[in-house]
Amino acid sequence: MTAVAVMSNEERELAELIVSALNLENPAADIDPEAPLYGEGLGLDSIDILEIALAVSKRYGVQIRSDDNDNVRIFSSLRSLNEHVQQQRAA
Amino acid sequence: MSISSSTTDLVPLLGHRDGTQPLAWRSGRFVSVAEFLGDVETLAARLPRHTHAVNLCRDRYCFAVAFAAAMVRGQISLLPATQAVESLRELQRAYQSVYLLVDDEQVGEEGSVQVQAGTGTAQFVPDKLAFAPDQIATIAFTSGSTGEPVPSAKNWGSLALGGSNEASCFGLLDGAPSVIVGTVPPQHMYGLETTVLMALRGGLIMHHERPFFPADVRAVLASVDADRILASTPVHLRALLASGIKLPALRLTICATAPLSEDTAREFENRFGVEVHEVYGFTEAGMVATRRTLNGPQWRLLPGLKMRQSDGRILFAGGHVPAEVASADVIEVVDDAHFVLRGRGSDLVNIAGKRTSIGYLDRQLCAIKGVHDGAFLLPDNAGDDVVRLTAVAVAPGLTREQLLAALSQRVDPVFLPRPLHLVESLPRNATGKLARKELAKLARSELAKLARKELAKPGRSEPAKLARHCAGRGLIMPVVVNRHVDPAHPALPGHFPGDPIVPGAVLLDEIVDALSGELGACADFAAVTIRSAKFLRPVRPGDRLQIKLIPGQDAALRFECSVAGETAVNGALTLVAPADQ
Repeated sequence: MTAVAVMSNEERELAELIVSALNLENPAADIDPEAPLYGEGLGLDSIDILEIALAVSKRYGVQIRSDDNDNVRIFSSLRSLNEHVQQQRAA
Repeated sequence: MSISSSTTDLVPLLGHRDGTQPLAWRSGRFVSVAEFLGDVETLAARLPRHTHAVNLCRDRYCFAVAFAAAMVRGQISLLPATQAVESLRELQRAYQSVYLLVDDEQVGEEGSVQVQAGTGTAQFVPDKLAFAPDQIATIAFTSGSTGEPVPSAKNWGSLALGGSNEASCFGLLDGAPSVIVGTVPPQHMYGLETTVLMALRGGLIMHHERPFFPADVRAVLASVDADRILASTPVHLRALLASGIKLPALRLTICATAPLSEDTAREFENRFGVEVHEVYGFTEAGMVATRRTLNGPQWRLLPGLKMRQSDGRILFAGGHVPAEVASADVIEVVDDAHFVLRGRGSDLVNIAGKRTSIGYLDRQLCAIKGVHDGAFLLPDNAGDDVVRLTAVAVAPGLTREQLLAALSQRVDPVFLPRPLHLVESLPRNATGKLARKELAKLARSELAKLARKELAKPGRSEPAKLARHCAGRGLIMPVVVNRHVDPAHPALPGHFPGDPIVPGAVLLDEIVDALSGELGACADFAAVTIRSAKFLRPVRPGDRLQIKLIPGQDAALRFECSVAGETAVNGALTLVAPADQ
């Protein structure tokens, strides 16, 4: 078996938020923290991304912005989204 | 001016009167008309000799420069609905003499032309840069009745008149410099008309960016010091409200792509102090009518347009619409200038401004190797929430993940089903027909199975979680049931003679009965029990009750029963799970 990337507690909390905000069928624990959220991977579309941004702003008080096309990187995986959220929270 | 006759009068590109006037806002400053003309001139000279150009520019200013330069060279701009590689290849095959135009931030493939901004200025002579009204300027694409992309060619006269008419209809020709910020792409007909053509022809200013997240919209609006116009969609307006964000003062908000609810429009108007107007249109005609959402359901035709009924459909022509085109929607004509929209055509699907038909989706599903039978279902109206499709398929050798992966190769992601049920057979009748009612019934019973499985999972049995789970699978929350209290109910006589009111116990019975009926059909709950109730207003025999089930924030479901819009009873209830099966 190949090693599956392990989720941190923060990542798990974010995964649960996403699953609940989008009513996804995947259990939060099954989300690969390094797989892309957009397009393939979880197969989310831009409306979902907007929903996630709303859920994140409500839960963490972090408003996601897409300056400099940064959101391509932010939404490239659960891990990078979490890093961004935690960074903004600390700022 | 009639644009259908072949007149030789040229139609100017711009409604601006002076070369120093701002035409766009880009990277922190105004771009003047003279600079825009300089960029158009420079680009036009660089364009390859082809008949068609695919305008892929995301940057709205670059898009406008490319659009104008192509026209200067007599080339037609193709506006693809998606930038998926496969659809670009299809365009290249279909039009042959074609190249791609990209903005200065995009990386194009070999042979594509990058639009440059800030290349110099050109002298502006009012009305000098003008084109023949019958010159084909763009081809937009929409899904026809088959769902496959159908080209819709627009001549310059029609596009130009549409742009000026829209600006005049919104009262924007008063000379006050106004910046249009759009959350929609310029490649979509609504985006082209409202954020590019209205700006060019109305002498207005276009913002080069296309903000997406609520915080982006705020930042982009705040970046300009001028009157602000927001051109957006119901999805974005709802997101802006939900984010709790503050916006700078707006002059006008325009919304299109899907119907906006009165509630959202009212909240937006109150919160941001701006009128919300909607545009109704479809790719074949472009925009057709407008309304201020709060003024009621009547749409007013744009100047010069007329309606005609034929074969149960409504045809539009006149003004900026050169030839008669039929709308696929159900429309009720009120008078010469007004109509009411009664619904989308039954086979049509419109999600996030993307259009297709159930028939097309069904064929795509059934064309997947291993799928024996399959069908899509459009759930009933979900209000302002984005509608998601349900699909049912017979595919014994495939997993749901495999089937979804195969389907995502064939259809736009917004049309992917949520949920997709794998079943043994579809309830077709003897002639092989599949009634929507039967399909909906099957989908509900599959939902019930899922909900039962979910209830059986440890830690997953709280009603609120279950409610969310059901909501994601097509059981739309809040559940709304309409009821009458039967004046002949045996418990009524004797209560307050002469001033009859419905006793609380009867009312609660009515609520339990209505909700168990509705939920039982979906998820086989054993029982609904009321945990608490508050009576706020008397209910009379014969009153129409609207009973809503609302997923609560905590681990409870809330219900609300109202009469004529006023809450009569509200409270909490519990769903009792069936015994493990």
